[in-house]
Amino acid sequence: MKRGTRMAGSRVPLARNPVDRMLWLVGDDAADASALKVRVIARLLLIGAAVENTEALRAWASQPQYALHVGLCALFWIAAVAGWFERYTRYAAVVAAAGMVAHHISAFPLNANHHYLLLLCLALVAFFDHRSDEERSLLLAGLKWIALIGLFYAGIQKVLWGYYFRGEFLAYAIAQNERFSSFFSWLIPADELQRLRAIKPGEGAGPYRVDSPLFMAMSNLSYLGELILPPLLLFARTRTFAVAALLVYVFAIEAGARELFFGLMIVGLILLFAPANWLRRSFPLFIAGYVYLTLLALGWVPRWYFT
Amino acid sequence: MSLGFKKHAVVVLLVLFAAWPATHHVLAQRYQFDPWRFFGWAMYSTPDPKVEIYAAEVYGEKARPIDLANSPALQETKDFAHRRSILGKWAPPHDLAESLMQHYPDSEGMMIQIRRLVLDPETATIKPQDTVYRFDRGSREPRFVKVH
Repeated sequence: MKRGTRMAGSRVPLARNPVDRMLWLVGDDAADASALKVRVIARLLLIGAAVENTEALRAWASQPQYALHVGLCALFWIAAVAGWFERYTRYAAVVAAAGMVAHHISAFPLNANHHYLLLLCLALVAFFDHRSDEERSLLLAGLKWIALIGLFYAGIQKVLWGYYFRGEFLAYAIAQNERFSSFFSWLIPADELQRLRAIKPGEGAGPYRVDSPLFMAMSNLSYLGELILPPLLLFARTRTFAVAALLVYVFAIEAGARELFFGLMIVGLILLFAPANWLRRSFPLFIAGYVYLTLLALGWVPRWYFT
Repeated sequence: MSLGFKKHAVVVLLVLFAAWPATHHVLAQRYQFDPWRFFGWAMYSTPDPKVEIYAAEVYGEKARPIDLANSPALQETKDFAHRRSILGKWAPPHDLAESLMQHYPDSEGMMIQIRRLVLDPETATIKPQDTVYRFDRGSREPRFVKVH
């Protein structure tokens, strides 16, 4: 596949067949922009793997696999440091992806979902030669499609399981989870909040329903955002809006779910759809986030709202 | 590896990646594993599943309930409940049954009831779904499995 030719006034390569056209529906970048994006996202994935495995060590401390995970943690940090240098990034991704495979085997079936996502993204980063414009473009297309499909399916799953149309899931989460109840308390009347929080879990518990139009709207917006916004990433005209809206959306979800590792990773992937400057300028914020999470893992700083 | 091969590899990967969540949904319903697990993008789609385990020694046609909370098999039961809540029917109670029969050597068999507590979208209340396994001493496979 030679992609030297581009349509006038467009960054989309002159597609030769339906597969090519589909692959680059997510947008294509000029060579310098793709180089910048690949460099930044690779660093973020490698650092994310190292920090998260450091954080997870505490949970492994009482397990027989602790020594393995200490070794893996060292490996991830070596990969993260080596990956900072462009000539070693791909090799670092190979090492980190192999480390994630070992991690998955050891942790199964308790694997976090974003660990699968991390493994998939690292494997893609390892698979392509970053010096080649064409391969970088293909790598970015792959990463963007993964983010888009994943976000879209999160909405599809909520529809298929059917707990959002009348707010059952959110009501249950508020009843069971302090984080959700504190975040969503403004959505529902105080007496309803009190009733939900007083429900004792177990057979017959409930009803997990709230009679509040605002609450119902929020519940339905949860999956509608995931169904509507990711497809808007496919169109050049709506792409920037979709990126901005998805960032707000992810921030809102994280305010309830507080899964900062997943949040940072998915934000990095969403920013691949934006002009390269967005990712470059936000890079220090990602690093600040990961430094904080590292210090938190070491017990040197207190927990913050999102952790 | 040629660029053409890599492009096809990415396309195959993306097709599989797109097909998996739909497959995951079907499998999660059929085998009752935790929808939050296994990369199906179904986190926050359902309440996290709760599983309770009950057991009874079998003597002929009679069953004598076991107080698992005060049983020597308490830890094994807890571990199994945790495993079952994640893996669903992919975690059958055969090992637990064998272990219980060792702890209760006089029993002729063992009944294990697995209760999944699920949120019923119609009533918005927690409803039980029971699966009962009946094991005979000396046989690893259950004599029957009943789903209520």
